[in-house]
Amino acid sequence: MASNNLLRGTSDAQRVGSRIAGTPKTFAGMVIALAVLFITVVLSFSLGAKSIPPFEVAQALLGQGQENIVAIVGQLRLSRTVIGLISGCALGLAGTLMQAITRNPIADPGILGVNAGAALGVVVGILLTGALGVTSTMAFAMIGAAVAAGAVMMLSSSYAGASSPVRLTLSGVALAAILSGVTNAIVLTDESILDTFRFWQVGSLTSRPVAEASLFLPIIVVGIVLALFLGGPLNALALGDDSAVALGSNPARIRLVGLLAVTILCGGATALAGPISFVGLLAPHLVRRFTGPDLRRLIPLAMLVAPIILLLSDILGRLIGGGSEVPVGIMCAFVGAPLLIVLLRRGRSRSIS
Amino acid sequence: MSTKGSGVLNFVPSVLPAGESVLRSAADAYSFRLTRKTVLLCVGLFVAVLALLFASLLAGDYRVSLPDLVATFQGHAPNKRTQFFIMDRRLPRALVALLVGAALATAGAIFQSVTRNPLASPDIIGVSSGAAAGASFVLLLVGGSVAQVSLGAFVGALIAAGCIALLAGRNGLHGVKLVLIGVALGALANAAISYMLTQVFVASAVTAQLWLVGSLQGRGWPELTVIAIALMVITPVLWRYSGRLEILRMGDDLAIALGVNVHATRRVLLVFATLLVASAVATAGPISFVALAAPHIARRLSGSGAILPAALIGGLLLATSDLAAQYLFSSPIPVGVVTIVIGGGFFLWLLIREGKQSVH
Repeated sequence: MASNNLLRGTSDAQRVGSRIAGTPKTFAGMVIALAVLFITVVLSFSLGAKSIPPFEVAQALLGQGQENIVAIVGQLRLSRTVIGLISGCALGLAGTLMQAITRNPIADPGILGVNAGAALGVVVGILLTGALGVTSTMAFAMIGAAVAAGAVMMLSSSYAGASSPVRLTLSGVALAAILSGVTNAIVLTDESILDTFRFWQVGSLTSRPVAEASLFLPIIVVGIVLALFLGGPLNALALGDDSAVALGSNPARIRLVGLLAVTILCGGATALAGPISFVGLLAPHLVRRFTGPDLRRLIPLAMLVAPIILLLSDILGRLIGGGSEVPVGIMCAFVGAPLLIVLLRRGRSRSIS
Repeated sequence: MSTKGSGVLNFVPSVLPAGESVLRSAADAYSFRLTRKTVLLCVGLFVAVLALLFASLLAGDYRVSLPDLVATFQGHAPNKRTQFFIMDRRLPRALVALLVGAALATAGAIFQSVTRNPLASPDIIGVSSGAAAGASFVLLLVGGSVAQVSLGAFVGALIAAGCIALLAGRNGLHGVKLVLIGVALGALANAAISYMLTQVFVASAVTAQLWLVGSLQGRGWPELTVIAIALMVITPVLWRYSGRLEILRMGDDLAIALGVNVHATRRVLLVFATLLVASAVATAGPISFVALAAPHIARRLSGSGAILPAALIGGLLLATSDLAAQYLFSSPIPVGVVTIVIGGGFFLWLLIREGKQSVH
């Protein structure tokens, strides 16, 4: 059924021919997504332990108003919103790309172990060098993500993945288990590493000031640009390797570039906000209901929808925690896992088993 | 030889194929089908268990000679240190490893048989994570005793197993869907554990983390009691249900036709298997992949789904891993790391092999 959809979607896309962005419907979708994202950002600035009306937020961003409100908005809320936007975009794109490359609707960097690889990279980095700076955290996270993503791709092209998406998912689960087992063993050797790690591993948007977060921006933009250009080639890949070759594509090169983009995006997002699961799974699923399977529409929309999910989870975590807030990674798991179960139980999931 | 034994177990020559016989109790209340292969395998495995136990007693920095070991067991140890290392440290730890491994493997074999799903072992489908979350809750936020932690583990495991049974539905138990629902539930439980870890002082977090990785360090006689009681509770149940378990493995329709109450049998077996998982997790932490791997290895070796070989192999796996974890590295590491790396690799291999089979 899924492959039917894919075929139909792509021939649709070919009928509309060379128009890049697709139909007015897609345009409307982008506008709506942008509007919702804007509202979410406003909410992220105003809601929390101390709620601030949007008007005062605007004033505070310009440096006017009460001193403590300027401090809350200009430092705490600004940094978590910016980190939410950057890592949300990155995770949404990474999930979409992984689903397309592995042809597996239940792929997610968290579930398939790429985040676990990035986490292991960071912990190994801390172990080797003592403390980690911003750039070295990023570098180690990306090395770890690259190794894990490479392993996932190898599994997906092996019999295990090729014969069934579910087997690929389970292979990813096993990979994630092995990687986090090693991570836990390293963490146990040193109390101070554990103390840092336990707060980092839950996934949080508040761990870095905005100045550090902005250092991640250039490399993640590279990943975003790569992802946006991959829509067309990945559409060809969705038809199967033989058809993709017949259409003049090079499947191996598409996968390699996709792998590069996934590594950059996951490594960057994990180094920035910790390992966060389920955002990369949910965003493309929500978007696909409106766009269909055409990746040229799906990828940019998923990029806008993922930060909405992440920021809303973060806001929810601030509000329900009472005195202490629930970190965003926990909220995402608590929102995302039930949704995954719903996806699995629905009739459509027959096509994935 | 009479077929109606007088309260004694006896072998019955019958029409069964060569190499098989049926073991019956008085008045045929219980009966077992035995194959020569399974019996030989069990004897071999039992010898291996004894050898491993022996090795565990001798291995370590504190050297004990063979005569001293024998003397210690006869009740007159050469000195207090030997008495301490053998009777209070090495013996209970090795026994805990064997019994926890056996408990996990038994639970895994039951889960896999009842669901007729080779991947549906409690560590993959989130029952172990549920137990770990329940135990962590008591350990970290309530601060309970060993018994209370065990209770927390049991409640957590039962909730996870119940959720899976509810969500997968009656017809969903065989499919991969069950496994994926379990994966999602496991992710949920792990998120809850991670959150609890951030809510306590760092010293408690270190203790809990060591337990969460799965470790047998410092396990002694009290822990042995918990896991031994759990195994003693399940043995008569398994004895009673072994025939029905074998029939269930052939499919629901056939089982119903043969007069087995499928749902009741499944419920009873799953509750007791969950109890086993919970006591194993409470004793040694959520050790992964033993429950998955041991039944698979046993099936390959014995050619049947018999539980006893699986239990023996599970015990061997965990005890061997624990020896490796203690002495193979420059400093001891938690046994959970060894099982997760070896077992995870085994799981990947299994998936790739199964994938190959379904392609050809």
